[in-house]
Amino acid sequence: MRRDEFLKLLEKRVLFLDGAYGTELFKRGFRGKLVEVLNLENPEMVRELQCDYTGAGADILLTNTFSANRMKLTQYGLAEFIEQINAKAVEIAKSACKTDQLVFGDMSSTGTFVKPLGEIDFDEAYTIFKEQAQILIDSGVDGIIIETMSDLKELKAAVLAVRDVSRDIPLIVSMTFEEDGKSVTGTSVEIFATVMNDLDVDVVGINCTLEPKQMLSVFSKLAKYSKKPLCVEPNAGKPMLVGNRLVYRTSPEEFAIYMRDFVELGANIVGGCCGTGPEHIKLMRNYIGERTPVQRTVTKEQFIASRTVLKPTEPFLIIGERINATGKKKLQEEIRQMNFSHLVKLAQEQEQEGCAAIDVNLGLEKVLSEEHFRGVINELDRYASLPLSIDVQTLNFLEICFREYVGRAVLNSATCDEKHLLPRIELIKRYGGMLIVLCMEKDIPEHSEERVKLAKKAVEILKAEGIELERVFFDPLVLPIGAKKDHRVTVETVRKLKELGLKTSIGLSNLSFGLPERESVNAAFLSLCVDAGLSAAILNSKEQTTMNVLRGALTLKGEQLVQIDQIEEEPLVQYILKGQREQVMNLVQEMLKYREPLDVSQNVLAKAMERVGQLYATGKIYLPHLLLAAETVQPVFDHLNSLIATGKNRLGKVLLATVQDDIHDIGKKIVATVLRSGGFEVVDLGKNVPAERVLEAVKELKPNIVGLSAMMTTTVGYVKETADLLKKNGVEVFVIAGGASMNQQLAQQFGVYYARDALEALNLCKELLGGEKS
Amino acid sequence: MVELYVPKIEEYMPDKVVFLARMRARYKNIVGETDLLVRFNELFLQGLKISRPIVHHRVCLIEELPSALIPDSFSGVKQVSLFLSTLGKDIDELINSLLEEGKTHDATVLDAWASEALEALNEAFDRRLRERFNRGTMRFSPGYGNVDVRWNKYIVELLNVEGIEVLSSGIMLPRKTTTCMIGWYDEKR
Repeated sequence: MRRDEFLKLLEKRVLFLDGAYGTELFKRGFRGKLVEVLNLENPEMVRELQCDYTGAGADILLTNTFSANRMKLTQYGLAEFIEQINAKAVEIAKSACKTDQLVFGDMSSTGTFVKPLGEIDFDEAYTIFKEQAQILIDSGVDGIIIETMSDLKELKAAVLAVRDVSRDIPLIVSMTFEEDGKSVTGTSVEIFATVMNDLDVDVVGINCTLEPKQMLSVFSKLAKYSKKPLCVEPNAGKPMLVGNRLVYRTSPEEFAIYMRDFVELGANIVGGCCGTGPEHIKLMRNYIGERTPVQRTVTKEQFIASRTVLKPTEPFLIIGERINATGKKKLQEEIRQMNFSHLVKLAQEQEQEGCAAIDVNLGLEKVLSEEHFRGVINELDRYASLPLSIDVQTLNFLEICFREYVGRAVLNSATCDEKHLLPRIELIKRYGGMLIVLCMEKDIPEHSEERVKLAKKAVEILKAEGIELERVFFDPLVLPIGAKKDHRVTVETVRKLKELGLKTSIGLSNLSFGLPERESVNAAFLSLCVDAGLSAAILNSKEQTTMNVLRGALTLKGEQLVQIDQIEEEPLVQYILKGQREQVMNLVQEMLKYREPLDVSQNVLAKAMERVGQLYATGKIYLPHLLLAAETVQPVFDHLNSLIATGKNRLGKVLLATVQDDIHDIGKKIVATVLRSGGFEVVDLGKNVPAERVLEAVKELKPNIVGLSAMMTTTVGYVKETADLLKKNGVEVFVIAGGASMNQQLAQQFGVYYARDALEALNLCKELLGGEKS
Repeated sequence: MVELYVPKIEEYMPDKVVFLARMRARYKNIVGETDLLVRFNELFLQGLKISRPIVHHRVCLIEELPSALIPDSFSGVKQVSLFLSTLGKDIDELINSLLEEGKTHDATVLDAWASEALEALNEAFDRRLRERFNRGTMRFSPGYGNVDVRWNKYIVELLNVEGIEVLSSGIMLPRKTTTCMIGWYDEKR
């Protein structure tokens, strides 16, 4: 099916997607490790389920290929069958379809995060997705769905991969969020919507993790921020153990009633994820019936975003200018040597000073390589929060930056020369983002009329390329008054561009280049520009006068800057949160001059980490921050421990394992990192660990606690098996379980403790070893 | 002969637009208020859980019925379907107990829901009958037009329904009970 046909269909009526595969096939007797194997070993079983879905009224059937990418299949020793598994899945799905039903190729995560959060390169993820998309599309799917993604960067790789295989295939993308509207990597649903508004996808959605009731408020936010048609696939609740079977508690009628709400909120496609079956889809279809999608009101505001921070560009966008290596030999040399610590510090400072974005200019680019640009973008993603304005001249490097960047950046900048402008338009079309267009071609026109004329020319090019002008800032150009340049030309250009309804941005400090008392001059000029209608400025936020005058000038216009939500914490916590290990170590060394190592470890560092934990628990910081903090303090704890007498330095020993047949271990690794930073010794047995191996290790290593992780509903039963085996062998040890498929009720039924996330695990471990066994 | 019909669940799940409109609430305006919506949905589910819907149906030739029971709009019909639909007594009792506990909001929502659930059921049964009997009149209930509501007693007796009390006013208990008539123009049953 062509994209335009699919989009027309979406305008016409609400479409129904099918329900779960893994949980449903398991319910029907499958007991293997990977349901995708059934495509080859028992295609009839898959077909029967799909026939049930089409019989229930599903308009869109997904192929049984959720985990059929090379990375996942390799972990099960099935990589050589990638083509057969995917191609056969399409054949089966098509055979189950009646007229007018569509088959969408189902794709999902590789099972790991992309760097800097995870272990694989962006390009590696891209290649993996491209291979699967190519097979699915060649096999004749009507569209592709990329679902259950929790890393925005991995999703971006998948989108680009699918689009590079086909520009004409309908594409649905869907992320999974917690109840607070954030993914485990800290990306909010608003950021997801904002980024996908730019990317070449047809439908955006949310799926999995939450039951319908919990998903409502998250979906409301998506509906408010997304300009694309919407898809939603909730779970049928959390699984519970009834007898020997896992059951999902959301009944078909409850599911149907809530799905009706999603339609009223603006959903164009509704379906089910884990725990839903044909009966859910049938009742939903019957209850909702044939409906025209609801017209939504979407926010018109423009935002820029990093992975975890969304910033409005109105009423005024402050972009920090200080990451600029031009003319700064030391900084340039540090960058050349891949030492980005100073650069990260500059980013963090500018965030504290009130910037909404950070301009990044690495100076002399010819001495740098692609790796430098990739490294900078990843380092800032890891250690700094704010969105970026990428001020890179070399087109190839600029593309590297935009490819690697997670979020919605500003491209700084293009000129009005078509040859310069068009390739940069292509970049924001492919990777998303906003654009600054300089009102010049090869030379800077002297008068405002000529600059405006060039801007108008650029407007025509942008319109012809389908770029909304709301995504563009025009730079009227600020020239040094020390070089006898008339600053009023700039102010006049701002005014005229404003009259044309265009946004404007200036590079402020250029004005006072070579002058004394730059701050006063900059501030006065900025005030004039704001009065003329300026929308953004790249400036030195360390200049208090400039920042104060900006606030004042905006106040006079009846506007004010959005309050910056700064986390005010004591220096040690600040250092830990920013990943400034050296500063943490210096502070600790200073304390060690007059305090005992144990005292510093328990009463200073551990307390600071407790505070970090509280910030995470209250949603002030996100998983990446928590991990960064844990990694930052770990060597400091190690150092302190080396100074403390043996036996006193650890709170206890924890043995971790992902249960048999389960190969997901990101969550477990996160738990290990946090437990280590909390003072525990951790032994990680890895993934796919049989109960017997856990027993052997427990006997040998004598841990205080065993932590088991189970991600899939098909493997969660091994938690019970392992716990039972330990009990049967009379082993005295606390067992804690966690992972996507676990919940409190299941844990009680299994006779183990439950921890929802890494922080809960840490607190529980402390509680268990500090108190009595229950 | 009286037929009994136990509806499928979707046949008495009212659309939220009408159920909420009965309480003078516009669905599109409250759909963003998640907490309120969840509360409505929980009452919706409670209503579904507690309802025991059933339909008693009989077809009579027009001449078998008293003329005072025949609506004016039934001119030309050959036979008439009479049916009684009810959600049972439990939903009445739940609404009453909520009122007694001072939970007026929940009682009101549930009452509105039950009224529309019954209407949805009547609509669904109406559609089924039309597939069977072809051309017919609009659905009609005693208490409208020229037919006195006290004819409910006659219909309840005609359908031989147990457990439905008809008061002298014609009101039926349980309250979420209706009687309906549809006239059919074709002779063939």
